[in-house]
Amino acid sequence: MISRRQLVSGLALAPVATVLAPGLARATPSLRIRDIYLGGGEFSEAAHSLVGKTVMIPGFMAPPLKPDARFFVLTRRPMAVCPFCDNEADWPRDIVLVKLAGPIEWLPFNLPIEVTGTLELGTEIDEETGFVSRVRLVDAEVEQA
Amino acid sequence: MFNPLPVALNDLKRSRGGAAAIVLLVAMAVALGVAVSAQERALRQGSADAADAFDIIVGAPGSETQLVLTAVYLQPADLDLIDGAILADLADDEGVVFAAPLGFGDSWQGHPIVGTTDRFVRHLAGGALAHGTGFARPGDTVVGADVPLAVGAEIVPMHGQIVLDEEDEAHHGVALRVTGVLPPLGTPWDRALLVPIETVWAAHGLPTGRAPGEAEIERLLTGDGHAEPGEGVTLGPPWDRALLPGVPAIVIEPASVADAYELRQRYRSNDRTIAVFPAEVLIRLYGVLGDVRDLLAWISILTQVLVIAAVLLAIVASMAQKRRLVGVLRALGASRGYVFAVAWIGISLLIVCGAALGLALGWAAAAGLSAVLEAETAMRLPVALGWQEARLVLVIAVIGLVLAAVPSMLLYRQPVAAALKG
Repeated sequence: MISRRQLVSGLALAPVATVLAPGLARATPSLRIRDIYLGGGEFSEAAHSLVGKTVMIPGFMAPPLKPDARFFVLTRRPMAVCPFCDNEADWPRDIVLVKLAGPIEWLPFNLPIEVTGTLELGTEIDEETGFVSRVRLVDAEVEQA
Repeated sequence: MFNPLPVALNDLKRSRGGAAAIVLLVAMAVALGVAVSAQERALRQGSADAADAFDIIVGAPGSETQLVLTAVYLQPADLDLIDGAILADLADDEGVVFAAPLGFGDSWQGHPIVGTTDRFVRHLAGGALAHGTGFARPGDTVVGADVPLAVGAEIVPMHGQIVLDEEDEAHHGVALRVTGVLPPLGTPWDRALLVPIETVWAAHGLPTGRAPGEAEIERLLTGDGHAEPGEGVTLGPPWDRALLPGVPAIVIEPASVADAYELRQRYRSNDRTIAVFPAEVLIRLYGVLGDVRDLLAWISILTQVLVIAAVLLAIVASMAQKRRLVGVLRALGASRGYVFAVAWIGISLLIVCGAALGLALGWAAAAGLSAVLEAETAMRLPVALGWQEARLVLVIAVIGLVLAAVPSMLLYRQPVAAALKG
């Protein structure tokens, strides 16, 4: 049971909590895709320091590589759906493989999303598909930005 | 007080015909919902499995969907050719494990003949062939598991997919010999005949990607070649870029996920080719399929509601018959709760039996439809009942059980004297 005193003190603390809450939300460090990769196949210090930790990475969902897979690819720019922008051949190699705990709900590829999961670096070969990836977010959750 | 179950069962036994009709009605309504849900999943599963061996497909600009339907599901279509030099570019690309041409167009007794490379045959087989060997000579043919040909059989291919006049349309002199059989894949490729792409090119009088081999292949294809095995003819990549004719489609196995997206982008961002992941086309098709399923699901839910309403109405209408039973029970000293239990158990049993039978019927209907579609497309469509179908049946059963309380309450409320009089 909540005593009246606890309730009152809870109410009294409510303004403090709202002040603290944004800080708490930011406790999950965020990382931009462009800050992960350095040139020449190296990773940045910021990325190295976050390995194994829960990280939020903003980006865009890329078209699926496998229809029934539990992973998707996160890119820093939307994979072109714009006929005027479709002519850039310099597609960047900086992508993040996102592995979800559950099935994927495919969102429009031009919708900004925020993906939170555990960061993994280094080359890995997926057992099921045989695909090689270098940066992964595992046990991830997707939110619309 | 006694157990109400035997009384309820006895009551049902007396109105056997009506009870059976109600069970069937409920079962049909439930089966519709179960079949739609299970069939949609089977279609997704089957088509996704069939696309597994095809990561990226490059073709001429046009419909992405048609390219995928033709390359992955072997649906006949007149695809435009893309420059053969792209094959040479891809062979040199570090991000490519292999790039195999797919040459469609010819057939044998309705089975499509696809020209490709030995590497792709092994990739499709997922390792080893079921019988025999791959391509060593230009006439060597590897057949899918459903093709009624064994190793050693000799055939003459037909030009085009539909044969009007065998004499006219046969590729004169081109003889193929079956050297290998693919393991069953559960995809349309089970019906295909795979030949070296050089054979398709040579049969159409095109260069074969290699200068010295050309005359050799031509000679080997004219039947004389069977006397002496085609030693010295090299098949497959690397080809001579200048001597590569066009191909309708190229399937690429990328080295990594990043390579896959880079290749897709590179071969999309020019006006000579499009590159597509079959998965993106499938996800779009699944979206449409999902909408159709949702629509049918709503129709089936409405049907079920209507059926249950009709069943309850019928029960209320037939309550006159039950009055005697209720009167006797009450006169014997049965409590109102007991009378309610007898009536409720009776109706509930009908609905639960109907729902369970509906689950079985729905599965059977989906399996039957899958069998028909499998015979048509050669695609394996595994029907399995999952949580979705179980939930559907549970929801209907629970709604039925709750609504069954209405006529049961109407029954136990009537006064004993009136009941006995009836």
